[in-house]
Amino acid sequence: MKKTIVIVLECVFGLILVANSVCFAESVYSNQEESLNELINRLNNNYDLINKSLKKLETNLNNYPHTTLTMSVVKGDKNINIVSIEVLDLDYPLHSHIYTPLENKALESGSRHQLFRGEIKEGGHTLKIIYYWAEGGAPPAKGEILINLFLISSKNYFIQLSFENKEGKIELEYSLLSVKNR
Amino acid sequence: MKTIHMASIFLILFFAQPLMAKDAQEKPKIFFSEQEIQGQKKLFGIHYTIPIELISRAKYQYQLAIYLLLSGDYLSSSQVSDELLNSALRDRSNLLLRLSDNKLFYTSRNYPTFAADINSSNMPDLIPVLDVCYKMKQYEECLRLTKNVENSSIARYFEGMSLLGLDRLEESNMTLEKVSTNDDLYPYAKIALSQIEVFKRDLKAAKGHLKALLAHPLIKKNGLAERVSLIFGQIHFEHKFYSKALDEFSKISLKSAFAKEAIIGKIWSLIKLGRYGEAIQEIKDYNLNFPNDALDTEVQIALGYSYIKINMANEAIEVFQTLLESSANAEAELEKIIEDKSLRNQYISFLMEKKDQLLSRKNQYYFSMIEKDPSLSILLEEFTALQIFKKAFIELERKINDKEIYLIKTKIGLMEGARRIKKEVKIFKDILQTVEKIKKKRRNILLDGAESNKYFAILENEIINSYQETLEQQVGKEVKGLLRLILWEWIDQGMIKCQESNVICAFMNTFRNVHLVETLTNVPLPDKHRERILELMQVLEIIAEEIIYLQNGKKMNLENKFFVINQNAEKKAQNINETLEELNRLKKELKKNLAYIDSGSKLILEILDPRLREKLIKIKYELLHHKSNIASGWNMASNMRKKESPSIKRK
Repeated sequence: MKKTIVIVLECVFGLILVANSVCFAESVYSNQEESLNELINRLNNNYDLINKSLKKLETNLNNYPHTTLTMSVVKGDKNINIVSIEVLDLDYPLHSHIYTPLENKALESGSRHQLFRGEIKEGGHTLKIIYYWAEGGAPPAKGEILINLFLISSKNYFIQLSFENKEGKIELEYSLLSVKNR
Repeated sequence: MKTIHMASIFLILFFAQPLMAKDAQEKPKIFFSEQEIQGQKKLFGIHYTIPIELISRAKYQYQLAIYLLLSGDYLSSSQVSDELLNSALRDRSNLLLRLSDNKLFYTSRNYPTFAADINSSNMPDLIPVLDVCYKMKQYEECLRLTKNVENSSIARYFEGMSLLGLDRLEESNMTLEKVSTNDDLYPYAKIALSQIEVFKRDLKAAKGHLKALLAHPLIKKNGLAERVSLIFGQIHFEHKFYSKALDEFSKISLKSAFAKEAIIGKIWSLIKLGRYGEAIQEIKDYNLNFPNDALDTEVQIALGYSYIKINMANEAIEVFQTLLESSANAEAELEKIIEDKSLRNQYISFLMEKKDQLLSRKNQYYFSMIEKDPSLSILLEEFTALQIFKKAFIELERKINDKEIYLIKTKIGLMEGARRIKKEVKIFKDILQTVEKIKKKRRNILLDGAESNKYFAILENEIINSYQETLEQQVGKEVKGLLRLILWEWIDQGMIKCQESNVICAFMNTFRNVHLVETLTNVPLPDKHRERILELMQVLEIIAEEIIYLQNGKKMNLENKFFVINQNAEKKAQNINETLEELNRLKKELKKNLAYIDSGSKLILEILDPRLREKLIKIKYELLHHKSNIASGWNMASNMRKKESPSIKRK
């Protein structure tokens, strides 16, 4: 490698001692970079293939009774900052997330954060959503809602949580989303 | 509620296949219909007040992709966008996919994210894709995409610009000429046309394009006039029309995006015109923060020479002295880093983590020069991309491991469940058959005497217990009482058929009469009583039906159901085995990829150090080049001062 560097320097500054060696070092670098570039492209393709294979397997396994709950968050009121959201199924913690400023900004553009997705037992559930939010420089405020659900086996449930400003009061509204393939 | 749920255990847990088939016949639905919800409310007393909103899957996924992109998870946003390419949101997803991939692979470059407009319905679909491709210098891709756009001026503009990027000047010229004069991009096309002429060294033609542009009404928009003035100034300068160049550079405001280029143009025009005093004032006003970049160093050197030209030797010496000191310090500092691998490693780790703020101000300057070096920045981007993939592959590995554990547990549960059901169905059948046998042989004996009653009570208990075990369900004393009635009737009359058994028929008919069930469940009774009625009817129906099957010499319902359960369980176990094999193959693939990442990362680390050292030596040589100019300037200024005052030498 040391020899290579010397040759590179010679290439750069025109102090060429052996004309035939001029491009050797560059070609070594270039080949290495090409292989790195190829490697990254290959990794990208491989990741895609593995991910798709995994999803296909999951789809095949959906022949089993498969009940999923997906919870997503949108920001109706763009002036607030979401600090955190915690989801409990009765008292069992299901998922929690602390929002970064970047994530808050992303939500302000009208995007949707998938907070939770997982298999869930059919039957009755009481989901408790504990959330903290802040507005301006004010300290974070706490809110809490309960969602009663009865889940039927082999169905996929999508719940949307939306931060809304209702006459000056921030509320977390929830709805069931019917996600259609069209 | 629990009773109903548990009683339908066969339907829910083990009869997925018939359920799925039924679902397939029906119109696909994800949530309860209003009727279902009302039904659920009536049966279970649950109040559904949750509003239901409709959303297309494509829109839902698209919103997720935007969040992932804007919150920095480019690999996931790329994946989600890729899945959307066949949806109605194809063009927008294409844009998201490109943005995600470019953010993923070219981490150090500042690509646009369209944060504000990305969800806007006004955002044109394919044009931003062209814009992004062009900005990312993907000229070939841009050319390919323009072929998909109808005959639009915007497409021609991007086509021409891409051809220009590929140095295909003649083709670019021809394409850009097609951009309509009414189009918003016309002035930009004209500027590009003038640039093409500059490349071809036809400055007259370049000026012709710019002059034509000056008369265009759109020229006042978006700082276009200043851009035109800058190009005009540069062309005049090339033509050695320094006065005209100065005029054009002077038209550009200090607030313009082109202010720096304009001021440097002005300075050099003034120097070329011999107006050194004004050049000095211009440099002072500009208040350059030395050292900034090589261009600024040259301006500082020009300042020194301008002082010499107007015989201000002391001021010139002062400028050159400062430059000499700075360059000597910089040289020593660079020398230290060039020779010391540990210092270079520090740079490398800072470069990888982008923590330049931990470096001294001077080192931050080198840091930014190093960071901007394409040969290093590409390596750093590749290293970052490899780390992102490493994280993603590890996450995939975790998912596969979880899935494996889940499947193995499911398989065990499935097979054990099937075995347990088989065993319990057999016990249940044995008991019912025993009753049948006893009834035939010892009917008269059973009907008489306390001993027979006792024996019958034992049988009754066995049936109940077996039923409870099979269905994992406790039955109450009402069920037991009614079961006793059925058994007595069964033994007493020898047959259980509706026309012959009033007790059973009453319950069976009730259960099958939905209207009656609803009426019964709606009578103002406490919930637990309503549930009790349903429980009674269900249990009796199952047992009574099984007895009828036995009497008719047919297979019991439970046996038939078990046959299906067993078949399904075997099929699913086979499916699980195949899935586990496939997961194992994927895991091996993952491991291979992780090994590639490690060797790639190792390779980058091996190349980075010599590349960094090479860059530092290059910077040092650039510095030496400036240093010789500075030293010559300093000598000239010193000689000048010596001539002016012999005492300088002594001093």
